[in-house]
Amino acid sequence: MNKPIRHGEVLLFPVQDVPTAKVTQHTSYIVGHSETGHHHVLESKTKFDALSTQDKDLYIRLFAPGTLTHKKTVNRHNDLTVPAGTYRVIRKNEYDPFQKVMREVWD
Amino acid sequence: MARLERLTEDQEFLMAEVRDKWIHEALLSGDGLDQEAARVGIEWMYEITGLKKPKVIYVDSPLAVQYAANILLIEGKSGQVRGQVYDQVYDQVYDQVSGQVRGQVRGQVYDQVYDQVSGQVYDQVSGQVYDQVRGQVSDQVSDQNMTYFYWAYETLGWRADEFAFFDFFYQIGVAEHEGMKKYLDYLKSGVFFSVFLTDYAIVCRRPQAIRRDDQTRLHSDQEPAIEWRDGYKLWYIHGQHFEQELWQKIVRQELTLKELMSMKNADERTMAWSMLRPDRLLKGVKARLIHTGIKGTKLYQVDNFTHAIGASRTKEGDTEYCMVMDDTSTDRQFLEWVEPSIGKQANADLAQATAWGIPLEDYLSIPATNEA
Repeated sequence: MNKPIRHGEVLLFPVQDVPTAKVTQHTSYIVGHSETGHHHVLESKTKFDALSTQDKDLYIRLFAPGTLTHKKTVNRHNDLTVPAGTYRVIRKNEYDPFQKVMREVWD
Repeated sequence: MARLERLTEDQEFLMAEVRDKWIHEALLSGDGLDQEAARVGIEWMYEITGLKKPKVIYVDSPLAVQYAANILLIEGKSGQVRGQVYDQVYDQVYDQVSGQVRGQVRGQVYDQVYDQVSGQVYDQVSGQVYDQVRGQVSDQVSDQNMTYFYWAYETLGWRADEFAFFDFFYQIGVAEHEGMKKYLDYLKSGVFFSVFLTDYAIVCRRPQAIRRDDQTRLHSDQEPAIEWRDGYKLWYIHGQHFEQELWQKIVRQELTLKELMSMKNADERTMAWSMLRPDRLLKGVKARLIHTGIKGTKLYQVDNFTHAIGASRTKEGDTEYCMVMDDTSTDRQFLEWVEPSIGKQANADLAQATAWGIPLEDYLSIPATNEA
């Protein structure tokens, strides 16, 4: 079983199964979206599956190793190699003490 | 035809597509304005209201719309017709299409689409952007002792939510109405703000750039959060408007803690706090280190938080927790706040695992080589 991979506020967590989801195929896919364009992007020379559930959970099924990159010019996270496998994409959450609510972490 | 009892799986995915399409159309597809489509749509709305065709004036920002209307006022050429146009568009389009939809779908489906399509488009387009800009333009017009002209209802900025709702039913074949088709074409022309007068309709294009945070609030610590083609721009931090000079001091970390504490506007002060560098913030709120985790995360306790950030004169006894960690890729530090029920357990690794939504042992199993 692969180990989890953390890239900034995005975690690829290895899983065995995926719930019912809409499947699309890609060689480049945003796994951590940012309004400022500083996306976390998974890239692979071999097409891989992006699985989007009705609850908006995202899963990735990689058939060959890929690379996680951060589309930023400064203060960017280093590239990481992602082994083939199935992963759930998790966004980190944090508490907002000013509004007393939980929200996703963005960088 | 039988009433639609529930949405199919494909229709549920379509809801998300329609919602995203209209948010994109309104906020994220550039500042193009199809002048011909705008003119045709406005002439049609004036026609069904029983008004003669107006001359359409195109400008590049909402402030410019107000300037143009004030010039026409000086020349004695104004006279608002926004209410009349609204009434007719409501009666001849909105009410009829709404009746069609209500007749063909169950109330539960109607409410579901309204909530998941219209509600979310409203929050992002009207709530987070249009209303914010409207407020700032209103203040600026008043500050200059000009007349503030109320905005026409029929714009992409104000109406995207309702017509996203009808667009969904149009696409699944429930609603079919010539007037709605004309209205959708008009909204797609890109008119974001407008003022409707007797002889003139003044319209402006969408913003050239919009920058938002994860909660889709106007926000940027690098540039104006919203800009129009003619140079009109506004600065925001997490949905809170700031004048440019103060915004710059905050994002450049040039504001002293004393200056920050003395800011009169509590909303501005709170957002200024949220932008402080971790080391300055920890010092400013007198944070106390209570645990250091196996991976180096430091967990801090902040007593009397509301008082510490100047939001309350008295000590409320409220305690907040935050964790500070080094970025493995750069020399930056990150500070994240922790839900108090987790923070008070004084375990920095547990705070991290909870933030990721995974068990503690899974968090601790992430090898250092798998982190960046």
